[in-house]
Amino acid sequence: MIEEASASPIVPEERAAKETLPDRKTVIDTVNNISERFARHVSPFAERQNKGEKLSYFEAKQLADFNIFKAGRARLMGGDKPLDDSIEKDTFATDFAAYPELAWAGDKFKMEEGIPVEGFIDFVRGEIFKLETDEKAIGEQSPATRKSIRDQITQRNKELDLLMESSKRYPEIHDVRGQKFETRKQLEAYWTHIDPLRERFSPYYKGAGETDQQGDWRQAEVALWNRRELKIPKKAETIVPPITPEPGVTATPEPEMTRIDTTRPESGRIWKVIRRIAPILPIPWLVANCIHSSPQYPPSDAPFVPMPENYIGGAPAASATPPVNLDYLPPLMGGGSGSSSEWDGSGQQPSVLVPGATQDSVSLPPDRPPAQPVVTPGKDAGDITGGYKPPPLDNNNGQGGFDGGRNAPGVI
Amino acid sequence: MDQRQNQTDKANLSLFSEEEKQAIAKTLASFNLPSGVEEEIGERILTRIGNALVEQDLKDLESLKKENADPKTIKFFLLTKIPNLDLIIREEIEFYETKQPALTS
Repeated sequence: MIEEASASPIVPEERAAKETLPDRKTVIDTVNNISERFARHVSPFAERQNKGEKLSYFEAKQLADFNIFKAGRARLMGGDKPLDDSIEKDTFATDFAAYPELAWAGDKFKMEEGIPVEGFIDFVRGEIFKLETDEKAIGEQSPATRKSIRDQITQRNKELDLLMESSKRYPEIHDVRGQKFETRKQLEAYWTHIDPLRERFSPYYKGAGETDQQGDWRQAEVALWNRRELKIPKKAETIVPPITPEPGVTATPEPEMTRIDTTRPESGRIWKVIRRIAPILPIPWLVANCIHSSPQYPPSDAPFVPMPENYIGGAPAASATPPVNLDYLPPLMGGGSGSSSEWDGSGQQPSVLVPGATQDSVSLPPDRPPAQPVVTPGKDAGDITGGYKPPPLDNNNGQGGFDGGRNAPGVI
Repeated sequence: MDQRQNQTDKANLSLFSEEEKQAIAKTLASFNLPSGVEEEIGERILTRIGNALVEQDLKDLESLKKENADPKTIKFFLLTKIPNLDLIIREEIEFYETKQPALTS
């Protein structure tokens, strides 16, 4: 039997944060409150689903999220009932043996997992968004209503903070490498496959030539990677008082941490995190490229809206950097991209991607013309290109000695 | 307390330059979005990315910035940490584009 991955060692930052963690009762009550609201919210979707009606993307996602939470809670509580103070632990055993296809793994792999709450977090965020939209719509017309909405927003934000502080990412508490994780993915892929709601999301991850099964598999990987498990404080360790050394006694220094800090930015710190990453991440570029790797824009025809190679956050930097060798890019990047040498912020395209080509081998296939922007009803890609006509491709465009980011810090 | 501080911070600081705002708006122009949400979409994407990163990732990103890494390198780095990055971005766009069902609470 493979042992369950041990929890991350406590790092000083976590220890400091622990002093302000919510207590056990608050966590349980809050989760129960949210689950009641969530259940009311998705019950019409479930009814329509049972009648065979088609749900919208978000309806299906929310219903699937709630079902995933409910299944985890039922495993923990021994039935479909709210959390209560009687529970001794916040994890349950994942039982492979219950599924004939995975029965072989039943004795070999055992895992303790917590209740998935990532769907809860999305639900509360959706509530906050809805309330904020309402608040804006009301404006200054009705101060009393506006105050009521503002109070609800405050309450929801508190719940969101609590959920973030009381949950941990799956990769933080489980080993996501090796055969054990592969087997766990297989189980998740199986659940995805048999659940029509979750099966629906699989096409998002289906690349060219991939089968349904591979789509399920990738969906499972992403689901686990995105998962957050509820951590309910134990009765004895609800609040850890700060350690204050007695007068005259020198406090023992914190031991040197040899492990990298995997503390996840919690919601109370998220704004600081955002301020750190905002100047670094090329959000306009990411948005533009994500749109064009969307299923609505198949990679084979996707127009490419480039940003400068050296674009970092704000204005383009003066010196160009070597481009990435796209051979090393993971498949989720959607088949590569082009490159450009200049960008004036106008959204015009100075270059265009050859469909299906890597940057190392940018050349036109003999039997097909250069890619043209795809125009889809309702999503006019022509607007994005601003009527741009792609110039002849430069075979040397983007060549360089860069190693594809393999030696970049933090890239595994 | 943090919440209030966050709101104050948020009010005092725009995350995107005017150039970036225009670039996002232009990219999203073809979507059926309510007016003026483009910057908010950018902020929500930043929030979700920030939520998924750990301290070491932030340090690595800052190192990448010092090295003037290009957007593709940064996206590659992000994908090693957030495999469903594209889905996250699409979800944020579709969140505004899709008519949300009324909440019952």
